Amino acid sequence: MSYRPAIQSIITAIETVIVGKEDVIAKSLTALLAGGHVLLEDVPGVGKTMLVRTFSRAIDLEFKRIQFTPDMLPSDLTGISMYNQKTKEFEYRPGPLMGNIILADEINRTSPKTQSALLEAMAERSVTVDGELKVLPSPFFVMATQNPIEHEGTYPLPEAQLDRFLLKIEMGYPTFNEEIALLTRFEKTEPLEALQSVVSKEEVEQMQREVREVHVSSAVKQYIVRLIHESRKDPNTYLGGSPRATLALMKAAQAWAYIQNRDFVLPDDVKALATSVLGHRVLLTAEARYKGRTANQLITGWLETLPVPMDREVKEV
Amino acid sequence: MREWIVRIIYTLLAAYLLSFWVDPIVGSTTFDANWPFYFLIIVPLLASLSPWYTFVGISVLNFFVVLYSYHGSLLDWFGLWMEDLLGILSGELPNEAIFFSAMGLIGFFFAVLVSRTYPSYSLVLGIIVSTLGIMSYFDTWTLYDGEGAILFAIIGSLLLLFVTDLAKRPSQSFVRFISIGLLLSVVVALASISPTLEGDWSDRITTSFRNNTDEGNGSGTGRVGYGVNDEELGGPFEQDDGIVFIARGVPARYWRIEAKAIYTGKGWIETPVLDSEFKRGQLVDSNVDTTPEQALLRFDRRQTFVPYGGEYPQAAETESGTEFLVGEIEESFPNETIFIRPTGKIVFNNDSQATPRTIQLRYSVPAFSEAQLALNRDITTLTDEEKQAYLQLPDTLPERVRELALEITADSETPNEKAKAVQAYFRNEDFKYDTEDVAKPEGDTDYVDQFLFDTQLGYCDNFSTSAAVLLRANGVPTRWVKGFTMGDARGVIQGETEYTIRNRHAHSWIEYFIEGAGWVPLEPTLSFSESNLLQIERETDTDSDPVENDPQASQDGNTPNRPQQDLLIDDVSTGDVAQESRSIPVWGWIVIAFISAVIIWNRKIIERQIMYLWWMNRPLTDSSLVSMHRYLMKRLRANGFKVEGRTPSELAKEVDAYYESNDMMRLTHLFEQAVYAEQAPNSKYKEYWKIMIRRIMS
Repeated sequence: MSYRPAIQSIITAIETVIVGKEDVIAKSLTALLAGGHVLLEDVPGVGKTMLVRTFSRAIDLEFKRIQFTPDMLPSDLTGISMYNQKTKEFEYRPGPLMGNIILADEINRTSPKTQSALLEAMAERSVTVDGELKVLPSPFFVMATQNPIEHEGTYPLPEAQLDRFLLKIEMGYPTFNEEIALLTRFEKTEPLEALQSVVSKEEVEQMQREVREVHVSSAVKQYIVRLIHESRKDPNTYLGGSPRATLALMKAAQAWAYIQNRDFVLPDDVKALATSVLGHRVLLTAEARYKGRTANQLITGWLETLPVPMDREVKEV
Repeated sequence: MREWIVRIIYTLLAAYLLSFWVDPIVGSTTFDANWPFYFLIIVPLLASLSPWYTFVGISVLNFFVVLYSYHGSLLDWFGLWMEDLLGILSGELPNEAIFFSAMGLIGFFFAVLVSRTYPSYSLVLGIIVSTLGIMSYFDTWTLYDGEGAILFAIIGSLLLLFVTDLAKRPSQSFVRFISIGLLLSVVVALASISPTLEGDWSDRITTSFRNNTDEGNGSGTGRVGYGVNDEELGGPFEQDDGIVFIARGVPARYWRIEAKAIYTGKGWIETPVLDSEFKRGQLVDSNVDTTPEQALLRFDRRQTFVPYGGEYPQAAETESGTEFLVGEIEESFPNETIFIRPTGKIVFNNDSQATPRTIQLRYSVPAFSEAQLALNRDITTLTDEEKQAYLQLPDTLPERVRELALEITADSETPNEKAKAVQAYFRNEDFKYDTEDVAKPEGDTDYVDQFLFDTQLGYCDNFSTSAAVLLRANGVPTRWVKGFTMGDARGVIQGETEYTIRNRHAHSWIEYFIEGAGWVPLEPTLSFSESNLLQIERETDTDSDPVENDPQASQDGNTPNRPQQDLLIDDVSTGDVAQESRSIPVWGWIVIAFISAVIIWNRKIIERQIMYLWWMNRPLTDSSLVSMHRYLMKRLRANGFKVEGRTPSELAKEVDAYYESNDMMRLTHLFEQAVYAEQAPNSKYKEYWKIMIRRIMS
């Protein structure tokens, strides 16, 4: 894969800390540039937090971390107004949401009430505190993590809220060699401390604007729509991709094409992101789950059989 | 030095193989000699070993020398040539002169080919395949007989391949010589021990001979054809399309071979020599009108009989040029002796009693007047001996046959009326024509009785023998005649219809005697028409078509139990000639098959070229680019690449990995730019497309 130089420098910087995981880094960058948010799903300890912290370091962004617990309240996120006795006025004390990169750790451990506050902030890019609208800083990028195996005492995210994450990324364990390299790297130093930012906040905003300029041909649009339609038609799904998913897939593909230094989207881009975009949006029927099917399997199946459109003119299949 | 020896042997062997073309090709023309063509083919080939001017000089000189020796005059021949050329220009087929020069040119060009391509496997294989092909084709479909020659052609082919190999890869090793020696010995050994060497190299199509009455073959299925032994008739037989002879120069006519007089209850036996007032070969009374006719008969293989179409087979001209009269009995001639047997059979009295391959025959075709047929006089012309023989009936003949005979002819007065009554009886009652489920009389059963009362199912022998017996029971002298029907019209050659007479046209009918008219033929067999056997003159309308004159022919069509599909044994069908000349001849089919085969073998290249021409000459637009890419993907799919569900670049990676190149990737980039970036197509696309198509379809 060849990247745009600025992107390449970010990836190189992050890779001084994170071993391997190029795909995860690229996808996270894609979500950041497409203006979306990422749901990282994996077991504890594979480097989710480290990834987010490195991200915020490499791109000169303000990093905030929220550790979700069951007793957390929405105001713990948004911040509160406190009475200042000196000035005799209410003063706004910003919550952890007032940052550029938010690590929302173990999002499924908190109550739905708090979850929805976060997700609303993600969608609206603003919070209301005491009737006052507080606009969140830009860029605003949430990386939420959830642990798949710790079901005890968790509140699974409702479908409607999952839909707000542009991508769901699985970290996965490092390979044998990667893990050796990991040990070596952390043996004597702390690489994160040495990391210098390579891209400024403004540059990121500039890139976000440029991503929207990436061309999407009608052939690729057809490809996206056909894929989403496939997800709705498949008898194994009881909920296919929503029009929001269609939009998400296109935006993600644009960003993916952008980071690969291209100003147009290829069907390959759609293919590369399809499982990450649709994986958490497609819900399987009980029967399909019982048979051991997974959403990713289904999506891969659709991609294998769906012909790639080559025509400009729109044909409904 | 060694190289030259190899080359000379190579050329000699090529000439040897090509010389096999002469016999079949020239044999099917009107040329009476083959030798000039051997010179025309072989001499230029040998001359091609010399420098080109000598080669051309010798070839031209050879042509004129051969021509002069064959024709006797060059100027005269030039006139013929011009005449022929003018004929061709006005749409006629070429004659001898053009054929002669064409063969000369073929010889010359082959010489050029052989010497210019030396040594060439392709040419050698081409020569071998075409030589063997020509030989087998002509052997199968014409009168050419490649029996012995094909073995020599195969040996020559093997040697030629060996010499080509020697010339291509000179080697001192003896292994090759040993292996070719071994191969040749095996071929020769196999050929000589195989039982077919003596008799039968030809195929099933041309060979077969009936002997359905052979001893020990009583219950088996016979094969149709002309047989000698008729002592036990009956039983089923197989159809056989083998050619017996080809007749030219006559209208559709039955071919008589011989007549037999003594019925045994099971079949017919040879007639003893009878004291007679009829001359041998004479069939009718002297006051019956006859028309002379001349026929050219070409036999597929030598036979032991000569078929003739009428009375007094007078003169026969063989291929050796000897002319002789047949009319006198057992008359000797310088080269051959032939005679007419008492049965009317013409026999060549040489060692094998075999006929020449070509016979020019003259005879008279009798045409009876109605008055002559209606005569009912006492028989005085036949001697007592003859009357006895032709009225003979076996003592074992069941009485009910005699009773039936009288019953059939109850209303008939004259012999002719009686004959017609018998003929009509077969056509009106529940008789059926069949060749397969035909019974053979066992024990004391009479052949005729069985047919008339039990089976009512049979072929010509059943009908004719029964008719003869029924007429004899009525006191009409009758004899049983064997021969062939008129055969299949094979086309019009030089204005004359040729008929192919095959084994399955073997037939039998009867002749009955009318005092004052002679022996009158009768066709008793169901579904056969008499019009090609019997000519009747009518005073009122002598010119009209004999078919119309024959009451039987018109009655024929209405016969209720006429077989729907006549079992091969031929019927009169006047449409035959037109039908055959309209259809595509055999060689036409072969050419079509060959062209189709070439197209199928080269379909990829042809398709590729068409695609090149089509797409390269069109401007590259968005839609044409997409179509080109689709075609490319189709070809890739045909080559086993998985195309469905692949993006262009995924496919490109796989294709490039397979062909170890990066052309497909380049092509795909251009494609992506046109389709997905929606930019104007890049003309370089065509270039890479062509490269890829060539790679995929090679």
